Amino acid sequence: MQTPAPIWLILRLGLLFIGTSLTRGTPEHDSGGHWSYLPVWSPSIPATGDSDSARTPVDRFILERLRAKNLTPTPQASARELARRMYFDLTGLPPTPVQVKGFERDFSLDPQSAVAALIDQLLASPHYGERWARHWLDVARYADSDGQEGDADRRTAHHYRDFVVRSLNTDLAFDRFVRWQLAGDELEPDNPEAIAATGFIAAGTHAELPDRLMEEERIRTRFNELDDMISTTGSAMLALTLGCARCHDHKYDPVPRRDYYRMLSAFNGGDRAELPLASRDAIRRHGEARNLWETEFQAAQNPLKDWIAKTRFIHESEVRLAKINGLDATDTEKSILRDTPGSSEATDLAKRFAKKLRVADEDLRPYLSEEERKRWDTLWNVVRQIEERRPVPLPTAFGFADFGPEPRETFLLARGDFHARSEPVELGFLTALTRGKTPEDYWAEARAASLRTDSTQQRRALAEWMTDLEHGAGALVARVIVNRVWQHHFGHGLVRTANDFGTRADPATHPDLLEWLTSEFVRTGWKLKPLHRLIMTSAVYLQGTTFDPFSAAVDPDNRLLWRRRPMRLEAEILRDSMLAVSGMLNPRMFGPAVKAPIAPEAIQARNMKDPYPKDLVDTPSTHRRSLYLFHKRVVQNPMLQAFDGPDAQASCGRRDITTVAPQALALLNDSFVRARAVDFATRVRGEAGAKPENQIHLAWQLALGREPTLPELDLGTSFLETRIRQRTARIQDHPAADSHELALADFCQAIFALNEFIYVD
Amino acid sequence: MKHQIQSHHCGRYARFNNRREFLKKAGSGCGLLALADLLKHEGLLAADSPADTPGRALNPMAVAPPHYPAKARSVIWLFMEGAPSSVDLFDPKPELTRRDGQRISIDVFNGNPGPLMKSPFTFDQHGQSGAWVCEKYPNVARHVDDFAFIKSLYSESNDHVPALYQINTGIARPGFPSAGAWVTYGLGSESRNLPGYVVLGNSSGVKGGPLNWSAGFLPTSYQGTLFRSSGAPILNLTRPEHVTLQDQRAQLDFLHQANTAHLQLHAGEPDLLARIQSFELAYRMQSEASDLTDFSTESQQTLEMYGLNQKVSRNIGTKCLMARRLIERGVRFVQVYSDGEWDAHSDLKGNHSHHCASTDMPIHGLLTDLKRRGLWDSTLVVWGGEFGRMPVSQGSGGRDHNPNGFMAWMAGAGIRGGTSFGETDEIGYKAETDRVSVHDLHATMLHLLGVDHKRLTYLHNGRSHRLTDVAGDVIRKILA
Repeated sequence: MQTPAPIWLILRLGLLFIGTSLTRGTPEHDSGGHWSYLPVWSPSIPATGDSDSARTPVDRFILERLRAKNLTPTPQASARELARRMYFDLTGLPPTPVQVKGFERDFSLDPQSAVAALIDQLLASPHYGERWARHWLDVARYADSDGQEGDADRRTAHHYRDFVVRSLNTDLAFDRFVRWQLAGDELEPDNPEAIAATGFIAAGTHAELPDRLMEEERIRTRFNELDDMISTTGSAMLALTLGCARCHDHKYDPVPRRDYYRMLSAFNGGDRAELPLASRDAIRRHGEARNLWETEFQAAQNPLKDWIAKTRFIHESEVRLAKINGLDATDTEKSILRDTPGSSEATDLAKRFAKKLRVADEDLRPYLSEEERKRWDTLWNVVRQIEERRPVPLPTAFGFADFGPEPRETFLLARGDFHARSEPVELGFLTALTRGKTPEDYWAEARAASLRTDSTQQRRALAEWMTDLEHGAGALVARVIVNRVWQHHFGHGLVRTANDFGTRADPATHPDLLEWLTSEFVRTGWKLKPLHRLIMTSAVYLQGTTFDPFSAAVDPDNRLLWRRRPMRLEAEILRDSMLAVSGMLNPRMFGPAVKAPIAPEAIQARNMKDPYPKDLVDTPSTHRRSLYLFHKRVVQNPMLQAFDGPDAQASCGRRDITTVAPQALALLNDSFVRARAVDFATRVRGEAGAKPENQIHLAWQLALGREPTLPELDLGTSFLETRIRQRTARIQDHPAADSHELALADFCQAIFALNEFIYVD
Repeated sequence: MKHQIQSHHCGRYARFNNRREFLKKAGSGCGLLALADLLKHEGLLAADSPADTPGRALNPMAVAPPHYPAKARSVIWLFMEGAPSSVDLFDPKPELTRRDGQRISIDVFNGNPGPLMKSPFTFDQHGQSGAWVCEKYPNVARHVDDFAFIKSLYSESNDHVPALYQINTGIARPGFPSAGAWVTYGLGSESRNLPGYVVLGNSSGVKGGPLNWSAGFLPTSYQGTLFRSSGAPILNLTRPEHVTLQDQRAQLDFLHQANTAHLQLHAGEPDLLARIQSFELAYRMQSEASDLTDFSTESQQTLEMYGLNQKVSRNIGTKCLMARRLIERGVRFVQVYSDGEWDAHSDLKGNHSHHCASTDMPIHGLLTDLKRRGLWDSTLVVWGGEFGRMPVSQGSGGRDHNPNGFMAWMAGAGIRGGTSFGETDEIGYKAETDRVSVHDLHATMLHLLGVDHKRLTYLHNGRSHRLTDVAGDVIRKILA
């Protein structure tokens, strides 16, 4: 970072800014603080627009800014476009031809109620949670392995992912959703969902260092991991860069170094842990049952052990003698072992043949009487029957727990250097976002309300502060999520820097709209589904994509939203769409992450604790939605990576959307893509028959939700005919009968690569 | 943030992405131009960012101008993974020999340090510069007058993976953009049909994996592309079963027509056009990338010079030859990872003898070939590992990790050959004189490429980032 500007320059620039800065209706406030740090207020809704152009108050804010620039919105998109748009936005899956036709019919009767009904239907779909969980998992840098050198698998991390999916589907209030992720174990220690939610803190990368390694290295790692927890909490919930304050007071935002280390105290009291997913009562009962069982098991084992010991005493010398005789040794050696067992030579020999001479319990058996054997079996059966009743361990989740009730000592560090400890600090939050209540107050309240004696309640205090609209960071947290929701519906947030609401954030294009939406959001209980409804029933969301050069001249970047811009499917949704269209999507929800095949040549790391298997095969069980694919940090799925899937090293607020040749190579040559094209072709042939024209019609409907145009039909027909002819001519490649099928697969694969397939209007 | 890749500088007034935008927004009043110039002079207003380069919207690798005339056009980084030992290769320490067997108080990564251990190798002086080189590097030794040694490097972590991340990205944690990503983001690449940043990896995989050549928070287009040195060099270059070039050409023609019709209904969407072009590029890449591994156009003498005729050096020799072929085709940044690891926790003599043998001819071949083909003056060659090794022994004749003092050398474009910068203490434990941080090393590389490391920035999660974080000084004394 560069040095701050000299003060004289700031003053001169300040003069320059008068009259040129964006006009912005901010509330009356006395602090002069940055807009995003202020309490939520409720801007008045502009009077612009009639009932047709302004479906919802959202539109009035949009129209006000458009009118100011003499811009007009674009007319509504077609029913087909809207169906695709809404299905992809809310479920991340393409609508089936029947679904498109149904919506078109409803829309022709009453567009507004058709739209509202479809939104309700999609919000109620379990796919909604799967679709939107992915957005939050980006922000939470979620993955299924440790990363770093070991990159060990996290076999129970998926409970956090499932918690996110379920919370969205049940529309868990967002403030609660946030609090649980910071302190679910402290807030609701009997609720497995709340416990799994702490996976948020734990989800970052982790280096497993053995104790023998130098302490300095282990401390450095610990502070890096604490920094990841604070930085991710800052980016995900507050859209603030807290990491800067590790070394120095934040240069632009009011985040002093002291605040950083005081917040660090909340996480310094604990670490990643496997947490039982059960109420404490159930855990207690499980523990009791287990103890009971152990006692019973021991009790049953003792007679068996005693009996074996006794039997061994009787028969062991006999068995040993037989073993000596059977040794591959000289007769002299055997006789030494047999006749002078105490001699030093015998001891040496016994050592040499130790393995061979060892008398195992089973070795006794042939020397026992029938009666003895029966007795043994009876005792053994008693033990085995109890063993079968061994209590099943409680399921656990990879989450976060405190070490105990006492906080760990936390120090202010100079320059982020853990050698440079200065004074000790206690729990605290961002001073700039704390009004009329102190961290001590929050902590005292948390301890007073504490439901468990084995944690510090620091994270609970942090969680309460985080969502406190009046005294804490609640207003900012609400603005940040409202902006994220907007971003996923429009491609950009109202504030384009979704992970940065600090003083250097991109200024909001519609600050009053963001504020009004936020005030509605918190007024109606922090629920996301009503927020989607409000946004998606607005005319601005339903606009067409038509380009207008005059509007573009005024607002080339479409910041004022005079039209809709096509949006590219994310990596996961592209993969899911190929599965859906080919009829191969395995709709199973939840559970352990699935390892799908990755080309061995794409596995390029070593020394991993749990190497990614190189021999996996493409089966229906790997055809789950991409959300459920195992994200091995050091071996990211190459196709998801090529299409800008995040690497889960840090919070990702908005994905890049790059267009590069390796993406095209993947669509042309990747074995998963080709396999789905073959499936798609099989489906098309099965449902449409052998006639190319019918095949093209169906393929177009399944993949693009519409009928092909005449030129497209011609193009498709001539493609298929040529491919069949040429492939048949190359008869040596494969049986002639396959030419039709392979030609159709070529065609279906090309459809996956169409711009229209990956860009949604 | 795609095609209008938003790049931001770290000034107070970051809402202006560049000077042009600043002037546009600030109006055109008298004196504003002067003020803007003043700001620029004060370092408050960065120059236009690479993202504003014409053509970047359609091609993220479009060549962008450097900040000032560049000495080097491309970089070949010979990455000695596992950490070679300075005192056993290029930096002999008489005091270490004298005190061989003495115990000192020292903290080492794996604990249980042994006594000081002299080098198992003998050394000779070479060239006009009289640089010391160990007996195991006879052919590398022929080039010492071209080298600028940096013998006082230091880094943070004692552990391989964080150290690898640091030497590659400047930060000892995962998730930051690598030097190669920064360079291609800043300058683009002249190669149309090949990636701008290519990594020729370790055949058993590199510790820490692809995060070593990651684009971090930069657009993913700038991440390094891993090439294998045999077979199809990159992923998805082999067509699926039963699909021939003819079938694929037909698919591309179909796509082109259907996508063009779609484009006509979608004016104002450059991404859609870029995507149409990306398929053609992919098609060309398939043949171009396959050409790379076809060494039939190279003379027998060349192959032998790179050590391809000997088993021990064939792997690295192939990668070094590939590196030359890549930069010849305009690729900007190439990393050649050594094979296996220089990680000599025991039997340093055996380990380093092997790794010297596997790299000696390939490095000699590469340096000679670059000169012969007129690439020497435009190519920067860097040699080094992620850290160094301890002066004390570990186990039987090994050395543990040492980030406190290690070395690298640079050669080629813009480098003053026959020089040496910085020193460790008398036993080679800690960098003492003219200490050089990883940021300094990166700043120097960028400088040679014509890039001011303080001006190559990218805004991410509210912070303006640089390859060199908040530090970095160009090592002026090794520049020609």
